Amino acid sequence: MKRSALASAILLSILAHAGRTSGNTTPTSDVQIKDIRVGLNAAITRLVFDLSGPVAYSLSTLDNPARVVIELPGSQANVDQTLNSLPGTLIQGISREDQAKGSLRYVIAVAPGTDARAFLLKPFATHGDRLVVDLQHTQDATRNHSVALAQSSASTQPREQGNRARPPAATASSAPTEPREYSGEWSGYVSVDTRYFFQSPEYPEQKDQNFSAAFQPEYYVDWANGEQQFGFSPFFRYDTVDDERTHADIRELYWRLEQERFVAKVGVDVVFWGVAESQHLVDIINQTDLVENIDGEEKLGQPMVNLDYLSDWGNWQFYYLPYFRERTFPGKHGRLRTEPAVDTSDPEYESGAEEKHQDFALRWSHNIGDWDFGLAQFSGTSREPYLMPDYNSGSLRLIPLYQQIDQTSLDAQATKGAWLWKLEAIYNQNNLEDYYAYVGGFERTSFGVADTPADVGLLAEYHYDERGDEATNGLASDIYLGLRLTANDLPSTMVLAGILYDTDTQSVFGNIEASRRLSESWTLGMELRFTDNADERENLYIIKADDYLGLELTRYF
Amino acid sequence: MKGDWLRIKLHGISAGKSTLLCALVLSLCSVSCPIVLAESEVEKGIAIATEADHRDAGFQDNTVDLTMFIASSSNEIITREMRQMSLEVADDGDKSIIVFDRPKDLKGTAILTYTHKTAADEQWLYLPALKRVKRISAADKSGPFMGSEFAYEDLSSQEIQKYNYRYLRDETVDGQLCYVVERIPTDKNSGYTRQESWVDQAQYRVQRVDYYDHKNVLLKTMVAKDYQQYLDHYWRPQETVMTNHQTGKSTTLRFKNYQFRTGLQDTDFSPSAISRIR
Repeated sequence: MKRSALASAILLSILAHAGRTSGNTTPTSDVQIKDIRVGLNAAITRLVFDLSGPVAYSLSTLDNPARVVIELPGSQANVDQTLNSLPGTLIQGISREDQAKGSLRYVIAVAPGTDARAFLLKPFATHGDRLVVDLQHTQDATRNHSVALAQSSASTQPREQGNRARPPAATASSAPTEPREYSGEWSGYVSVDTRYFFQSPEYPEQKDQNFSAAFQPEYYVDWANGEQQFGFSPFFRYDTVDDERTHADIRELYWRLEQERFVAKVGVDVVFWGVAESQHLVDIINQTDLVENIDGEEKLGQPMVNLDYLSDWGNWQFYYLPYFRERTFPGKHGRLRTEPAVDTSDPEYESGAEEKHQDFALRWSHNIGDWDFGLAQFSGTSREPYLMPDYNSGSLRLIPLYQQIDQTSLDAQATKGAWLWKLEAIYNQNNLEDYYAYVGGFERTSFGVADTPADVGLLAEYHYDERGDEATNGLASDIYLGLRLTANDLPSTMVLAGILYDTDTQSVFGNIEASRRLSESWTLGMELRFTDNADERENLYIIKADDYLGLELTRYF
Repeated sequence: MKGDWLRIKLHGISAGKSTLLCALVLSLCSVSCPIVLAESEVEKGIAIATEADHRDAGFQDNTVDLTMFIASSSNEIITREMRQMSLEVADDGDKSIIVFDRPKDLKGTAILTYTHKTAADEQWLYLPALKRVKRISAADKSGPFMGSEFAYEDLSSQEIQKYNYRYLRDETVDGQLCYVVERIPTDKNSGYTRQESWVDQAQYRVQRVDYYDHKNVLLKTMVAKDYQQYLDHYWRPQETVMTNHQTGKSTTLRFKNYQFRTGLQDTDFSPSAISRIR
């Protein structure tokens, strides 16, 4: 797949020429307006007057209603340009007034608070003299000025025959400054969040509420027709209460080479395997960043050498994982923790190589018709530790113990119309006790419910773990029931509500997640988590007094 | 194109039967049979759709940048930016990928679709936050795309076999003489009972489509504007506008930077490939 950072240069093509009057007036003036074009990027509306020669112009603005007036002495128009408003631009209308002495005046009705500037461009390539008028909202004016200049209005004819790599959409010809750089781009997000806990803390160091902020920028660049890529994405979080939750990580730092059927990657990255919704059983390449979220969906970056081969019979993925990442755990000031808090300063490993144990994984995945499936083998350090009580230092400590495991896994999904049937299963061989576990179920979606655009999905999954009460994830015999609401509205409103019910102990874990876009850059997320009837034998008991409401405000850039 | 002939044949047979029956009944009344006309209307409708399909065949692959201007209920205009890549597949529907650039929270989100002529379509979604490629149900045809006035089915590859056809009349739209052809979706998940499409007689380009809802009430109109020709052969609009007559809202979809025969391969349209698109 070839890609280039052509995303943001949106120069719209030529306006409809409303009624061309082809020279029915004799040229009495020096300069002719040959065409008027409108271009647009995120914040700037650009009007380009194609001229037969240089012109002396004047630009002024009027209020109530807001208008921009362009006077072109000694000019005449070859085009009749009268327009209504243009969606997505600041232009609400253009009208032309023919003045005495062969002069022209264009009155552009604009949105209130519109800033206008104009400049002339000399002929270049297929373009003649041009007068460029840039319109933008006053508050955007300073910020976007340089971008506007760098995005050219020169190319109005769509490129036809392209090679694999897409050339930059703009050329420097008509722009007075440097051409737009397409070599790399930054994106990412900043977020602030709070969790409010309904119950009083169980342990004196804990608090009722925390606040935190996270920052994850992302840099991406590709070259050699997009065949080679580099990605870098560090992550930072500051938490007002829990020192352990204040942490940083490198989520991505890789170089990747794509050939037709081969993909090679060296560096740090995150890889997801699996199909189920309420547990990610077969997902094993990356360590869970547990301080981020107890749902296990936040992952630490994993150093790897990865080779993919896309054969006619499925995708083969080989991973060499030279360095192990320890799981993160809340500190003693944090909620959602064991007592005592897990001591991560001195983890135990079954292997003498400890975190330098060399792990390997191989996955084959394929899809045939309605079926998507993957078979995988992992050999190395278990991502999921046992928590070992330790009294050696005089007081009780909980220390993570990372075993060596060989894990074989299967994940499969059958997509039958509105029904998705899902299964994930593992067989884990280790030096304590081999076991198998699975999670399986369905998601059934009703589209456009009750004459609205909204979709409602019903989810049901069953979890089994041969270890029973000893299951490290506490999902030995549990039923998950969930409802997913996708509003299909402009703010992409989504709600996922579910409960996990333990058939042995009758305990309940409830989870409601919702998100909604507030504006083009801001989103609001909510999560509500609670336990009921938590039994002493299971993991849920640890967080029995940590019901919380979390709110997260995120700004993407 | 075997399938097309087959379908034409099948329609011919069924229409033929009813013609015979009708002729038997009506010959008693010695009234000229209108169904004879209906037969040719169906055949003509299919012939027009087939000709349009043939004229667009052989493009191999193309890419285009999309900007959607969605008028919200508060009359604010919301912008969505995407890129689309399409791959022509011999004897089957096209494969396509849509990658989102804006809004920024969706940046990198990608949808891969395998359109099939007769079998159910296949669809995968890539969620960059989780790095997860997810097979999703392609049964959702009628839902709004990104909260716009376009439904998924309006934007997907328009395979001949997805509709039954009937030629209605000739009509001039914007100075262009068009065939008006009724299209009845064969998929029961379609949000429409029928569509009327205006196809210009000069180049067989869809100029306008009226969409009728399940109560057979006019729901939406799509108008395609500023067709330009690429590789001296393939016509593509620079803009399509979808107006919902029942809500009064409209969405403008602008196409920019069309490129053809860019060298995209089948391997670029695998489920794992959409996790690497940026």
